[in-house]
Amino acid sequence: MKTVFTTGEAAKICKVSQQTVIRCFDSGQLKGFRVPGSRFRRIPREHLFAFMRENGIPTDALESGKRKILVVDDDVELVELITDVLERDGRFEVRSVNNGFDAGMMVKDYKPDLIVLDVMLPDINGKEVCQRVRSDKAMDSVQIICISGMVEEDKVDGLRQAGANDFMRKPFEVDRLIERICQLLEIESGAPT
Amino acid sequence: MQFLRCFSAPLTAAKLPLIHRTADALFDVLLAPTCDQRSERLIDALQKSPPLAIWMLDRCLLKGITLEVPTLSGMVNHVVEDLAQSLIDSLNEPVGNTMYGEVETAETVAVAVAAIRDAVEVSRRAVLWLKTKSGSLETVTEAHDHHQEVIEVARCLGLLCTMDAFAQTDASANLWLSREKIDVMQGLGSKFEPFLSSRNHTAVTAAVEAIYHGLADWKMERIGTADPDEALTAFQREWANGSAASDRLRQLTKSLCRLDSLERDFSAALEESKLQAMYKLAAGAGHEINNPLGSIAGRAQLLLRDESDPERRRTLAKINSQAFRAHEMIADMMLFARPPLPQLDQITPAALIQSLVDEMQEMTQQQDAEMVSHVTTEIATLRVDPSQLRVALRAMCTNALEAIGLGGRIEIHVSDGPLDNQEIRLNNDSLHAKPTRTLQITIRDNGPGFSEEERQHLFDPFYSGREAGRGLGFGLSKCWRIVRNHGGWIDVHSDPGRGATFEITLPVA
Repeated sequence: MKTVFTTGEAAKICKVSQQTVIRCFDSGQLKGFRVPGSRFRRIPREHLFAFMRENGIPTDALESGKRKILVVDDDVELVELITDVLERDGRFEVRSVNNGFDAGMMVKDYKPDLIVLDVMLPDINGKEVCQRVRSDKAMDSVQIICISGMVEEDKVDGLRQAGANDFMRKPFEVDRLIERICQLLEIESGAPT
Repeated sequence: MQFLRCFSAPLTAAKLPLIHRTADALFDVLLAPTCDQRSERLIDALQKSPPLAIWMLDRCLLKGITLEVPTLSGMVNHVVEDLAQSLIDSLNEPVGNTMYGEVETAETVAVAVAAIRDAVEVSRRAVLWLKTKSGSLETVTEAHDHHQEVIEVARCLGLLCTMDAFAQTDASANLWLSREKIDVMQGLGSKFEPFLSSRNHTAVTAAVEAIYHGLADWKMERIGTADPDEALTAFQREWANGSAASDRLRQLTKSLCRLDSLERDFSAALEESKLQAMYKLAAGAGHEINNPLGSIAGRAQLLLRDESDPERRRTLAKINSQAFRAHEMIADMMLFARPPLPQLDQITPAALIQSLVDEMQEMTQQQDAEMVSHVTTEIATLRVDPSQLRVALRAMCTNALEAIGLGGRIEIHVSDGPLDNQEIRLNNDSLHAKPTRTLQITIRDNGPGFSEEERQHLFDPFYSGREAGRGLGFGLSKCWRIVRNHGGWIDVHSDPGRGATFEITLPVA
């Protein structure tokens, strides 16, 4: 589990801007230290936890310390694979559903940071799921990576317009998937040691 | 007599003379008191309708009515040139989409063939007639020269040069009437062929055959009367015969054209629906097969992460890469069935080839092979989809590399040539702009080549000519599709055991 956070990471967990975190750090509201030999701010886990509780910020994000991923695909084996890959990485909390309807429900409940979304679902197609997620202002920050076995180049644009942030073709390199997820969530790629 | 056939299959319907008008004109000529007046009236008739004039001329000659040879020459010349020109025009005109256009072409050809034959026949008869009438040596020579000239015109048109009879002089002029006319017609057919697109080919061949059958039935009876009434009756009879034959001809060409166009539409529809079916299959397969492929590849990658044994690592890497290979095939299949429209851009052929050769260099060296290119074209730029053309050429080169094995040689030659009408017609639908020249990219290898059967299937997806090591997968099919989408075509030649040549031709706008 991560024990020390950067101001950027703390900002994401608290869902506030990095500037706010820096201000609170500098004013002493949020306790921490500077990396010896530099001016980089670092916040130990317990101080961040205390800060969040004092200010009424929900602490669940910090409790797991993991980014929440929702995997949506009707192919059970593939869901298992992706879940496996993400859980092994250690930085992600993963839930999965097998159709578009459940995806819609789960997005509201679970409030994932990122959705890995199959385009060809048995009920609602992936493009529509994208549109529905994007129609809800509260879910603006949710990142979406679409995956599909049969998408032509020209349809990828359509997916992007519907709100997908990225697109990957099946089969894919699992490392590439992690990389893209990390990019979208603005966390360092490469598994933590 | 065969001239009659010209009447009802005229170059334009407006020129079709009514039967009474024809008869009147004939009487006019026959009853003209002097040679000069006859000539005058004939020339007049000639302007109205060349076939009519020739027919009248024939009547006059048969009846021993004197005509001046220059008139005769002018008339025959006129007919030959006029009809030859319209024949050439109609052949050079782009093929219309309507069936009417094709019927008209076929009819024009039929008329022209008949008329040129008639012209030759009339001039031959003129020579004969002048001889029997013991004309002066000068006039006979003149008529003879003219006869030769007419033959030459016909020969130049490439229509009649296989007719043995035409190689003979007037001394054996009688020969050609008694000869098997089928030879003539076969000659006609074969000479026509190079001028015609495949669309018109069937129709024209049929038209020529129909003329032949009409002639075969014809009995060379002569009217042999100076009585205008009798002549009229005889003429009417002949006219009826002639027009019936020509109606049959027209019916035949029409139905053949129709069949031809139906067959073409059918093959086009069939090809389209085959591609559609393939697309659906590929799209379905894309969904159904890529999921398990995703699992196979992903699992192999996960196992590979934790594996340290080199042998097992290799195996896992292979599982992964083969899953991707299967995916590529499905992607290719979709691409083949529904390729994206070319995104046209200006490219330099020489640069494209050079970069391609550079790109293939590593593969070539691995095989200890050699790949060289010569660019002799002056065409500096070409409007194509650069990435698609690259894919196509790479597929060709890869195919050649696979075929030559170790230590072979591949030559890429880029040249240009004038546009061949016939080919462009075949590809007319897919053209983007009116091209004037073509660019040829020839890829020649010294591999084992392929058999005729393999050649026929060369561009079929998944066709495997295993012995030759060619044609596996989608490379060539993709190439074919891309070239077709650019309005071009591919010619292939091979001597089994002595290599193969692929020639890609692209129209240059």
